[in-house]
Amino acid sequence: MTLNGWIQIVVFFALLLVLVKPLGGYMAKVYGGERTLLSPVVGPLERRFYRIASVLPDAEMNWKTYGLAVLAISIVGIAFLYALQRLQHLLPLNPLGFGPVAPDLAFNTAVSFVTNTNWQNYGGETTMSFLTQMAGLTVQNFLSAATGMAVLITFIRGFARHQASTLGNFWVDLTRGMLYILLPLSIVIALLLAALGTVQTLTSSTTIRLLEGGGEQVIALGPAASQVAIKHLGTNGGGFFNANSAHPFENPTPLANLILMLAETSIPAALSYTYGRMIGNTRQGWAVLAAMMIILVGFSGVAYSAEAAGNPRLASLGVDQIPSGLQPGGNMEGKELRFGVAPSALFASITTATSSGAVNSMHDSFTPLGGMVPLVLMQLGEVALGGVGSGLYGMLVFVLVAVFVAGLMVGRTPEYLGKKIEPFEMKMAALLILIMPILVLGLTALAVSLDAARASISNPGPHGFSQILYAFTSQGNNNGSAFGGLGGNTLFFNYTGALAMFIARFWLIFPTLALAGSLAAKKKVPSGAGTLPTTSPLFIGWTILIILLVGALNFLPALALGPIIEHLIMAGV
Amino acid sequence: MGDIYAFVFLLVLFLLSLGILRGLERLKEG
Repeated sequence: MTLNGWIQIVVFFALLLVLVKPLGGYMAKVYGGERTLLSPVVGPLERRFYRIASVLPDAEMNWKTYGLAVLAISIVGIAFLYALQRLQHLLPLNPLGFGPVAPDLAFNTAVSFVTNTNWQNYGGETTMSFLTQMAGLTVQNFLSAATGMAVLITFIRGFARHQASTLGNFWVDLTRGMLYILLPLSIVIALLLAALGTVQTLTSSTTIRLLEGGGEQVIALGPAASQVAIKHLGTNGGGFFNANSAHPFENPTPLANLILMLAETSIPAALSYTYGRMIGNTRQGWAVLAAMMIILVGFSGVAYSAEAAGNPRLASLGVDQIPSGLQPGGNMEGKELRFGVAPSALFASITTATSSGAVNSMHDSFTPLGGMVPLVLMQLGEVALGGVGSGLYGMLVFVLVAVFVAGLMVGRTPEYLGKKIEPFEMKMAALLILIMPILVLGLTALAVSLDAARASISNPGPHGFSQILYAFTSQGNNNGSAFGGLGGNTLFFNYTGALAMFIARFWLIFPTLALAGSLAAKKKVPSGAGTLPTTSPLFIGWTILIILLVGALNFLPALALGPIIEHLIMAGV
Repeated sequence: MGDIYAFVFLLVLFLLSLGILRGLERLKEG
């Protein structure tokens, strides 16, 4: 590890924390229907949308109607995106003449982008037309992110409202999230990226003469900057190019890399402040953010430490892995020289702590422990910041469990923010915590038991098991990052992956909304001597412990079969 | 044929989702 590496990590987290209050306060105004800086410009557009779509912005929905609206727009989105891919050879903006995407791959991709996963069993520059990328994938990047944020805001209203039967209007929350937050920020980020060298053109490719051998190479181009901006801001993660953020046309410089990392973490982090503002107690928001950041900083440190230590097998052969003026040192396999070890390890941590899934290095090439960090961060439920919206509502479910367990242990009334935690809330929390591991472990077990699925593994032994476990962990948490090495474009992986992504998204959103509906209907109980303080360092530590314990109980046996045993083999134990 | 499989798969997921919403509602109503 180097001082330079640590400085880069510290600067990133410092900048992120600076953004939390202004952005979080702004989002609270947007979702509260208050006037903002953008209201004079965006307000008329917003009202016109409602008129065209016959939406009554003051008509509120109960949790079930809200859930039906989420499901309806998502099913239509999947069908539209599927059709766009299947018909792209007949549609314009297809300069390289790509044929229709195969049905199973088109289905996997459609579910992937609508569920904010962006798992990609294809290479963008060799499969998708510009129209599919722009009117299909990018549109879903916006819609899925705004949907996640809308569900979170509904969940927050569950805490903020008392004896209420409604939770807001999905179409209004969706539209405001898009128009006031995602669209303006994406324009700014896209312009910054284009200025730094990310390509943005409708020219399909350019041909260059090679320096050696006199041959030529065709280099793919395209409207990447506009997709890359929302890909990070919305924690989507689907790359325009196959190499994702490792590609110099998506992520050209260390400064661009920093901007992308801030883009994918700023909204999830700032939403915790939004939460505090909307419930009228910002200390609660800071407490939740503290728990998230401690987990994220801790695991980022582990990843950096493991990658900076390099590979002991290479060291025993006399290979120099010490940082110097000539090399970054550590394990540089699968990493970009322009980034080095620290920004690669940090990127891998935050892309899996959030639900982004963009990669600037190949996680498959990390050391076993370094590669285990992204895996674990997803298996904890992506609650250390998490996806836009989904991360915080996942975290708040763990907070409810922490309150309930602590209440049972010390004999205090299980209540949070004046809302009694009763059997229905715990049933929903149990569903929200257990569905993901059952899905991930069940599909992993199915895959390793089938010859056809095992044939997709590129490395035998524990590493191959990690490849499959990572694939379903990523899809089962709507992350989308790939470990690499697994040939996922098969009938089996396309359909099982789609199943995992669909369930992980919608079958977790429904209990979340039901929980919000139940909380909103409750009376507010005044806090008293029996109320557990939920902003103290002790409670923050307790919540972190609950998250780590649940994660370990669910996934430690599976991790022991993959990265842990691989580490022991590498270390020669 | 692949398009039919995809359509049926999506339809099944949609119907199951409606069923889950209904199930949660009944659970909530006790």
